[in-house]
Amino acid sequence: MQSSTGNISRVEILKRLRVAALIVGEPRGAELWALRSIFAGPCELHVVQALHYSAVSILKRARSQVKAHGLLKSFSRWMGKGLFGVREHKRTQQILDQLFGVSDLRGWWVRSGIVPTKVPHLNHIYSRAALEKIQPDILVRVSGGLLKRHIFSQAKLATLNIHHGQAPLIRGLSNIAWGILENRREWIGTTIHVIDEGIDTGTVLWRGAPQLAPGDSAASLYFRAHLEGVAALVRILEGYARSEAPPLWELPRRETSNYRSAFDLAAWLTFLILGRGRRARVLIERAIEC
Amino acid sequence: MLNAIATISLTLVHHFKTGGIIANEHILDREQTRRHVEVFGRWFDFIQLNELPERLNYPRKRPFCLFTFDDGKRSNATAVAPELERLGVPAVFFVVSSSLDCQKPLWFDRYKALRRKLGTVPPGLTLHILKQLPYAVLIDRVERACAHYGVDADLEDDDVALMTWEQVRALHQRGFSIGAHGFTHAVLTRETKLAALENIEKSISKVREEIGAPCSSFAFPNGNYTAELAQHAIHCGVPMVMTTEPTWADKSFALWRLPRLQFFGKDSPGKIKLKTAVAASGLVLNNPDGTGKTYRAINRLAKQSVSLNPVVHETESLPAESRHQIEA
Repeated sequence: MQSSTGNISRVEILKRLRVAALIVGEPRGAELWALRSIFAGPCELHVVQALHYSAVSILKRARSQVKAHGLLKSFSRWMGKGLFGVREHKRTQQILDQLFGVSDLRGWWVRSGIVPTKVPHLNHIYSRAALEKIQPDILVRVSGGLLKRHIFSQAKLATLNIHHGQAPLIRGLSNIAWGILENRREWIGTTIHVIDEGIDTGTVLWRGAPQLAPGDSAASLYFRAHLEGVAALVRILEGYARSEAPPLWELPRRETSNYRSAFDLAAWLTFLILGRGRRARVLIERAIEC
Repeated sequence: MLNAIATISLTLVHHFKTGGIIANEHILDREQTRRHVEVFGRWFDFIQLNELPERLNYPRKRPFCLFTFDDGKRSNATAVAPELERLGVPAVFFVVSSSLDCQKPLWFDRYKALRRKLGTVPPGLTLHILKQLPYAVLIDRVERACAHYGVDADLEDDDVALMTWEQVRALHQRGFSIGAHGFTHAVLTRETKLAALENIEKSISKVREEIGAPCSSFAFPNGNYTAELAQHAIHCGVPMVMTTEPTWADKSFALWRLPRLQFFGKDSPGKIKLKTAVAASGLVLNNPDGTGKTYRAINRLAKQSVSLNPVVHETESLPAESRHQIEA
């Protein structure tokens, strides 16, 4: 009797956690997987869905890119994106949708009855207003760009990010693909961290990596890294729901932090020559080295 | 024509190639078993598993052939083993430990049943996609699809149903070797590292416990492996680990990643011979584990780094327990 009462009170405590998930655009396989897992956890899930990544115009973005990286590098990135990036992104999304079983997930999304609050972009004032209304205990950035303080400070307990790469060892974009490209096995993985004003610099709550094996590709590694990351995120949310602050992840001392952004033309070419990872040494050598 | 070309090719290979082949079979009926034995018997010496290290290190004029059967289907005990026994051919049977306990069909038999009924399968259920999923996700997806379409594998079929531990013990007592093929038939490289290591350990200890003797070897389900997992199997007490690399086995292969050539019951003698001959090049065939010809790069890398490789290469450098098993 006592234990059943204990269970009830535990469920009640767990149920109180309000989680607001931030997404951009129509959710695909990876996003839906994360949303469904959070929904299945001890959470009352709210979704804020941005229609666009950013309000900054293309011209303004291009100008700031040139300013930050130089004309040649910026031009190389645009070329890379135009020639390969868009097509490859589409291809990867299709593979990931199949791996995540997107048709089932879309069925769940419709059945779940979750009505996302639509906002122009995640840092928009409407987004802030939506979050003020939700009053989330936890904010989870499921997809989208950098969050500004007026957004990530809306969470009562923490704003969390699923970063695909081992932060702060590697920060930025396409970190798993960069790990393959630069033979940096230690970069490949997932990090759950608290969002602060930097790029993937917040306090790390969990870090893990999928097994690397011959035959893997950037997409398959991303898939498994995401599964492990989402499972860890749910465990962390359960901790919060039990009013337990998650222990900080112990990081090795003297870990140098690296930052990588979008692929440039050379990176795209190398990536494709490596069979999108399948011919990369970092994966092949797993068959003969521990 | 194919048979003639295959015979000539295999005759040539037979003269120039040292080592031998480890045949990876799954389900055969009596007649197919006889046919496979007849084809290989003409060119190869059939060996027992414990002769393998010696035959790899000290090649003889006639190459060897070791038969291995994966998955532990009931037909292995009712059709294959009696026929092999009658012909005096030794073999290794790799069993999926937990499936033998619960007598549930393996996931790919349910998938086959699904495909038979539907003709084609939805995109998220293609074999290529399923084999990339962690076991829990895979099982969930296949089970839901089976429930949705009202399909399941026929456990009355000896090629679907699994052996009982009783039958496994009987095979062992009759002189066949019993190996572990995973606790579940999970593609171990898709699991978290911890889950994969645990799976290997549990499967080996379960086999050991059930047959009351050391587990003879470990074969990776679907063939996907990493050095770390293979080394773990060695540390769990098996002297040899098998993959599905489609090449001949010789002394350049360490005992923890022995290649195996996959054959099927319906393969004609010509196809068997041609496949065996072609496999000698170590370049042409695709690895059935889905990694294509990546094994060529792996073997190149292994040859380059053999002096730097911390991983054991000879029986002498294996853990004492495994070494004793081989010597015994």
